[in-house]
Amino acid sequence: MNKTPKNRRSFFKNILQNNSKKPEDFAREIKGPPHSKSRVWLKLKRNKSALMGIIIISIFIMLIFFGEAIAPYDPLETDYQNILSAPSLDNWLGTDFMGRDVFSRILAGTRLSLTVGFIAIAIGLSIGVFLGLVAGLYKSWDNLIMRFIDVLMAFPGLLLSITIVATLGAGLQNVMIAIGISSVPLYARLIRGEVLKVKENDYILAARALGAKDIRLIFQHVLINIAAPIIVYSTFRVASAVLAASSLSFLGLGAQPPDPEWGRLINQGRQYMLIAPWLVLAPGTFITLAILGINLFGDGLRDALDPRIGE
Amino acid sequence: MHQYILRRMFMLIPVVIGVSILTFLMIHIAPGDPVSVMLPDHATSQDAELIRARLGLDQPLPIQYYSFVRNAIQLDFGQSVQTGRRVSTELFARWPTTFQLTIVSLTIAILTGIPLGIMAALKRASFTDHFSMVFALLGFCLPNFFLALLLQLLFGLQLGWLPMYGVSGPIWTGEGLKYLILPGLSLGLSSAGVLARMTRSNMLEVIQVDYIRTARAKGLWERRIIFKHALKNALIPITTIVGVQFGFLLGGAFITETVFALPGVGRYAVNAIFARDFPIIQAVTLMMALIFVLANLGVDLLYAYLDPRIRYE
Amino acid sequence: MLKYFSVFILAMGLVLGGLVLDADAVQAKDYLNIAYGSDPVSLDVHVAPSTSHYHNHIYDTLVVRSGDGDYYPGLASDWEFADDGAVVTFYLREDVWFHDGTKFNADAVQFNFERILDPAVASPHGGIAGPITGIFVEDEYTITINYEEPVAALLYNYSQTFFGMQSPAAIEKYKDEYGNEYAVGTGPYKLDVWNAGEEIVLVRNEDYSWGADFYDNQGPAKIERLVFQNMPDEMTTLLGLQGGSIDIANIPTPYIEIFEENPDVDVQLAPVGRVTYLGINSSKEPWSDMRLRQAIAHTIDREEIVQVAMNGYAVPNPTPLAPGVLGYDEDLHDVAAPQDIEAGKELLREAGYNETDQGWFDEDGNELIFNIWTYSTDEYSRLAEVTREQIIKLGLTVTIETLESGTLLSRTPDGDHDSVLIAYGWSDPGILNSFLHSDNLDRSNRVHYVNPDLDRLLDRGAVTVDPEERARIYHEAQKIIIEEAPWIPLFTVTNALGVNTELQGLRRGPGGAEPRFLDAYFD
Repeated sequence: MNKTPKNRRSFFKNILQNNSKKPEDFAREIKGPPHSKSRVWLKLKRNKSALMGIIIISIFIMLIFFGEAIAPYDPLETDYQNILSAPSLDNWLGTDFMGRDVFSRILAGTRLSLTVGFIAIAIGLSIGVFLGLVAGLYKSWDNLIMRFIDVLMAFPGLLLSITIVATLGAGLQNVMIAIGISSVPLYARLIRGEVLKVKENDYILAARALGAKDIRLIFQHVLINIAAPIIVYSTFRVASAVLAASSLSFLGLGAQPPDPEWGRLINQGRQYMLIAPWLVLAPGTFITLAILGINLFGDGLRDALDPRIGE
Repeated sequence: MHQYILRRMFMLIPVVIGVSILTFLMIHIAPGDPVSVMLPDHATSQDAELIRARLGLDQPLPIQYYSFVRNAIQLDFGQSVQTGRRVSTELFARWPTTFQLTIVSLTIAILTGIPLGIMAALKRASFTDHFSMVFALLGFCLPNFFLALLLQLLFGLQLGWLPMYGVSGPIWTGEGLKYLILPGLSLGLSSAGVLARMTRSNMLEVIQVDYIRTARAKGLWERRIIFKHALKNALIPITTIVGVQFGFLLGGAFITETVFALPGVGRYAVNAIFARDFPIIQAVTLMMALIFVLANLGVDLLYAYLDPRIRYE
Repeated sequence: MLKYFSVFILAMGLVLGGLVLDADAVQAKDYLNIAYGSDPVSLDVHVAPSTSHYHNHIYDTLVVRSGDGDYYPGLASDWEFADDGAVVTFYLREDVWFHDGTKFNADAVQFNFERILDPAVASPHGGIAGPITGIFVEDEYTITINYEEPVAALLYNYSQTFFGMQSPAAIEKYKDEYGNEYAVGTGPYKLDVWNAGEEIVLVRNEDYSWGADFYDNQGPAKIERLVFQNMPDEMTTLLGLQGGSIDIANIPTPYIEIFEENPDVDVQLAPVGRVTYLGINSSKEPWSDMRLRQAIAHTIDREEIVQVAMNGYAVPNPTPLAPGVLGYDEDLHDVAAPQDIEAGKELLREAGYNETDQGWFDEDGNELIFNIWTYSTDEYSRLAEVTREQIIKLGLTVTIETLESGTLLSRTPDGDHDSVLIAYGWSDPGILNSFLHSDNLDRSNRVHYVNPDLDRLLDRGAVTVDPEERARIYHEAQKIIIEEAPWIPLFTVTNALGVNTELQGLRRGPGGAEPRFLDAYFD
């Protein structure tokens, strides 16, 4: 980066933003005297909105594993005598055009809708860490990788994901790859910046050829320094990945029928919006809640890991 | 400063080349034969070969890339595979809608986000603060396609206050603006949320900085302090965020334009994706990326200009 | 600050309020707002791969096919076949002018046909023009075309808007712009303006006096302007129809009942010669085994598919041709496999598969999986879900892949799919040649079906002019298709057109879907 603002604190807030431009600075911010785990937890617990986030997330995580099991009906079971019926005691959130229970479908869809976000970010994180390490460790690769990263960063918002899906074709798998790739740049820059700093601080290491042991050492060092910001950052990224995946499914580029992915449920419900609005409202509310939970949790986590915010 | 500008411009060159290679390769990475899209069921083999030759798809790759770049420099993105119309003509007819949508959303974002952030910061921990922050949080947690449908259902269908879709002339006519309010809201509210949170935390930070305390000690009227010092210093970093949000709004146009049936670039591109009309997808991708890169450059330069503390290395 | 902010909010409120209170425009009755889904490829019908109703109003054809399938004189007042159908002579009307004021005559017809055959134009309709060996202008209003062999579908093909007569003067004048900015025919409406992505505006051709006999009105249309509004989204179209800003729009099946209760909208139902079918990839293992395809056919309950996925607005049809098309035969319904899950399972067992709780497996333990490719539109994904629901009754694993229309069309020739759920609309049986003849494996034979017997029948059908003989040939061909099940035809669609109740005299074109406005007027 060309500019180094003195007012570094402001960059700390950039992570509110999915497209934070200065991850290196952000990394600098959140580090500091390491907290003990219990103190972080204490700070998290005291923060009311973070607690709410934790509760919401816990419910959704539970639904990921048990959603299908606790659903009142089989999410794929059709009942042609009972189609598009309004919410009632039998069907809490109504039924769809094949008489399937909407509530059960949403519960069963939790796994699909949320794990997409986690997997996409896992893909982005692993590619990003790899590229960042290589770029930071080997000068010969640095330029090439960073120019490539610059190219990826030239695509605003959803554009890169949409472009990748447009090329590879629709489907949840391609959606995960696309969203993963579009979160590579920030991770790569974060890691690279940290590696360079470690190398800078250790003249001997910087001077001699790197052996496998050194690389492992650097990696460990980098990881310790950067774990906290990466965790916080990834939390926000998961939220936006879930959002992006449901957006692509909504456009018809993601999940395939009969999978009850939430974005697809809304896309399919939309054709009945005027006669059966619950088909849109119910899954939409679930997406919003899930993203809200993750963001609240992220906010709390950031505050808890920030050494400057008192207890 | 001039040198800094020049260097930043110079750094754009590899990015632009990279973007052009990526967009060019799309059509060749993608599975399937692009010509089949253009054939009616009753077409024969000869019909197919004629069309392939007309599109230049029988040429070797480097030659295709060369002509792609040569033409793109002249803003010629070739013809739509599907319609045979000039992509550049079609795009120039659609950019105004997308720009107007972006402007309306950005205006909504700035006009709601920043005042909310300021109010929240000034009345910290009050009802106003909590309300603003819940609003901000909801703003960026609501998926914009869901928000769009909610707005359509509520303001368009139930209340009948605003048109639910389509456009009617440019925004400087009242009628035209009316059509872009719901789309602008659905796209702008998430940015408003981001801006509100940023403004609030920047304000809180600046308020605590020494020179404000000094000013206060000197007994200046409190509101003036806030205006002259705090606001200015808090808003400078916001300019960068506005740049990023501009890109976010451009990218969001794909969904918003589709839901609200706006004849803009985003919907054009979504339709092209479904039809596998690569010249259009390539052109939109390339242009959006360029606009985004340039907008960011502009914002960075503005930032550097506004904030004298930045060093140019 | 707070004060400023409240003033700002107040001001915003006033501005918004002012905008909202705008009065609705008074509806004038000399134009129609018609919704259309996607822009035409071109208004040049020789180049456009498909035509829609805006084309039909701009152009006339030599021969006109009425809604009930009879051929009427169009721009040709009469025609005559010679040499067993390998030579045709058209006698043209002498009172027809193009929109640009040039005269329509035999030279114009010759120009149009030569243009369709011109490799530089690359028209995708060259094939159905027939194997033309010569075009001869006999006199100003008589033209003779010679063919290598008789073309059975000649009148049908030439009644398609692809063979609409375009002004030679306009094509030479506008060159590349023709079809985009300009479109000049002899039809009842002229192109006023086409703003791609927004609207296509047609204005009445005041000089029109050559409407086909089956219209009440042969003169200029009664409605002055047709405004086609681009509305790719079904929901927004419906809201427009409900609110009265749209006069004519297609209604998707879930909403037909709702609109039937709406007093301002008249729902006009018409059968469309469009056959929806599940095509199975007959060259791909293991579906090349006919028994597996037949097993799938045994699971299909067409009535249920029509009821659930189409809300009852379609006609179950187990044969490859739509009712009303030459060769359609009700007797063939009995040839189709009835729904019989046990029979289906028996066929799978015969083919060497074993049923377990997990699904069907071959002897090597590979699971038998059936995938369905279809369009990612609402209707097709709905259809695929209902169809899948029936096939899984076999105990088989069935997956669905919805693809963008372009991807589906460009990837089916590669043959990676097990099956494809798709439809076609064409009212001459000759089209089966495109879909099932082995000549077309690289393109439109999307089920990769190869059967020399069928090829022979289809080849004969293409050149047999006598209708009865031709119907017999296609009866045989359909029997093969139904029995060997490369196609499992499902139903023919019923089109529901929502029309402003004040509009009278609307007629349907030969396809059933497209309205014609020559007789239409506002009450």
